[in-house]
Amino acid sequence: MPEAIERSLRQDCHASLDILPGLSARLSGHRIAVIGGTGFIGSWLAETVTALNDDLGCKVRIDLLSRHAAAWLAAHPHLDREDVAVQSVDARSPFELARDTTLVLFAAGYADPRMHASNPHQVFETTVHGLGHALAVASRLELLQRFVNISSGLVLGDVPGDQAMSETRIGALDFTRFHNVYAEARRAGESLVAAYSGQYRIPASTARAFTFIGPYQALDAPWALNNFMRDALSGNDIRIHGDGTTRRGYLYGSDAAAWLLKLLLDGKDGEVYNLGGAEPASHSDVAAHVAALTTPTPRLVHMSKPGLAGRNHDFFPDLQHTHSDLGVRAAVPVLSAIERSMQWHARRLGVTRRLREDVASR
Amino acid sequence: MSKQILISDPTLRDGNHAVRHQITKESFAAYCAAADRAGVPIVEVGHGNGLGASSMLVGECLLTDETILRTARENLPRSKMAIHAIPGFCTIQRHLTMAVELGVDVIRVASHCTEADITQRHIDFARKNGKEVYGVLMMSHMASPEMLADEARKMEAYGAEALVIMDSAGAYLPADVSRRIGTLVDALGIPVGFHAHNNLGMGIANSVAAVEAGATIIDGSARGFGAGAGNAQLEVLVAVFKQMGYETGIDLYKMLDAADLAEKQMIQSMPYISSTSIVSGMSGVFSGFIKQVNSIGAEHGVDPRDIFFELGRRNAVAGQESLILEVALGLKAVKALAGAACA
Repeated sequence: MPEAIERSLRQDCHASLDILPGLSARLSGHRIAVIGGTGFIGSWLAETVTALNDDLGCKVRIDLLSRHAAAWLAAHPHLDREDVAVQSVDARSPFELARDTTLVLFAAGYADPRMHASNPHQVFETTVHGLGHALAVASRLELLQRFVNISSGLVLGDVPGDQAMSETRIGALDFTRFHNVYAEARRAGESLVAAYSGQYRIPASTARAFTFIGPYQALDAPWALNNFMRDALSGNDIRIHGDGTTRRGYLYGSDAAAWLLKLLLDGKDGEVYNLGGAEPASHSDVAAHVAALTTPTPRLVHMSKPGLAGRNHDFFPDLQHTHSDLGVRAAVPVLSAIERSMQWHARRLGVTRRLREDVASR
Repeated sequence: MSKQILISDPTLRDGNHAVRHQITKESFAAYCAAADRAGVPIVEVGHGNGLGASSMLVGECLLTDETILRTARENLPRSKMAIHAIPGFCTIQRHLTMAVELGVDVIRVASHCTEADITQRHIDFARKNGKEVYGVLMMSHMASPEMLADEARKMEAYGAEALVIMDSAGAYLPADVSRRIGTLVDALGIPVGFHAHNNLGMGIANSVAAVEAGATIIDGSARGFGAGAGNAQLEVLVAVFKQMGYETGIDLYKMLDAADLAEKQMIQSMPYISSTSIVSGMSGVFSGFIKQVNSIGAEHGVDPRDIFFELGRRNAVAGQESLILEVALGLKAVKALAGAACA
């Protein structure tokens, strides 16, 4: 990874950690296991742990357990270090954790809707059976301080209205249709955590993820903002579906990692916390921002006439509970998050010429 | 604001079925230019079964895919050029890459109505290359509205930017269309379209039913030039939508001129609802089978209507043309046995 990218990631990690005074000192000495550890969240946690250790003298160890261990290490050699242990594990089968593990994060699963559509069986197995294996092994850890399950805001189902989604306002979900298997599996996962928490008194909490943005996310992931960035960086028009008013709340990777570390330390037993961006931004607004960062400026093409798509697909969290209980805040606002993501992707793809000159040089 | 209907014109793709894929280069050029002048938004070109399909099995095309795409592109300065891509016939490396290089605008990735899974890589390729991509579910009468919605959701998840269902056998009545389109419109966040065949004389009525149920993309061919009894007749669609207050952006007179040109230039026999077309629609068998069913039936002395009903009983789908001969020979054998028994 080019030095400029590493430097930029490190700065982001510190910006997010700086908002949470005392967090770094309290993390010192912990050993964190992340199941499903080479995805977006695991990668950002590894970056954050190395920032804590290198620059703040913390002694944190992180174990990343994943089916893609070798490929991830090959792609990110700067994270091939002693304090980042990467282990090849498929969560669908039982596995073990280091005995001195103190914090466990279950981040396995498939956020990609293409996978939900093509292989719902595997989605269910990883989400539910994988979580079951993680809870079972965590329950045997003598030093365990907290288990956090990363769930999804999709468990909230169909909630009418265009307001922020709170943890407790749960709507209907047709569990008989295969396209709801992912959300239903996440619901089952939350029930499983409740069972372990209630029956075995495991200190467990749940983080409900909404929308993330940032480096380590695949540019071809089928989410609107990623598609806008891909279109722009490949020199094409930016195509917006629907009327562009649909809103998402984006949380940048370094903020997500810092929030999860805080949750691992300070989460309450049995509590659910929303994890996402506080400022909802419309598809039209983020597309316009992507276009403004690109040269030559791509056209914004609306693929359907306003009003024809017609339905509200807003998806952003109410963060009141998360903010008040954990005291977390985002360090990287959405527009900066988009700019950083564009820079990261452009550098990795070798297309910085497509960024506006002042953006490319920042 | 009046509702806008996006017209996609498969005259030069579905029409190729009607002439055993023998549309000439001159006809491609002339019709593309005429459709472009008329303001047809999307003109679909190629072998009847789409890119890469020219073969002994489904019919060899007079022109190569490359010639078709180059000719169409040169004559479509304003209209978008579309292709029909069925994974299996159409490969990414050999065909889609070429289509992208030759300037295709819209890639319509199609599968049998219950096999959307096979379209993921093709849809992904189209999106990565900045092309508009539609998911197309063929033979849609063979799936329930709910199952169609499930398959359509897969295509949407893969990145399809619109979803078109095809009444490949011309089997629908308007109420069937309304139920399916309505279910899809409710289930999807992308525009929904409909492609009619006229086996039961319902091409226009079904297209209107689709629009009334929420479809915003409608396929129609000049003079209905398409497989079997043909498609919904495009110039009629333009006129009907105009009467109903819908906008298509197509100049009616110039569209009528384009249809006249199509009739003169390449339609050897006008699409009509033949006896076998009716049976094709009733039995729910792909309209594109008609020419082969007729010729194999004549060759082996088997009533083509019996062949169609037996193909329907076996749930035959496009790509299973080899089944026609098997069915014909089976029926012939049964007939011979019955004859022998009577004797």
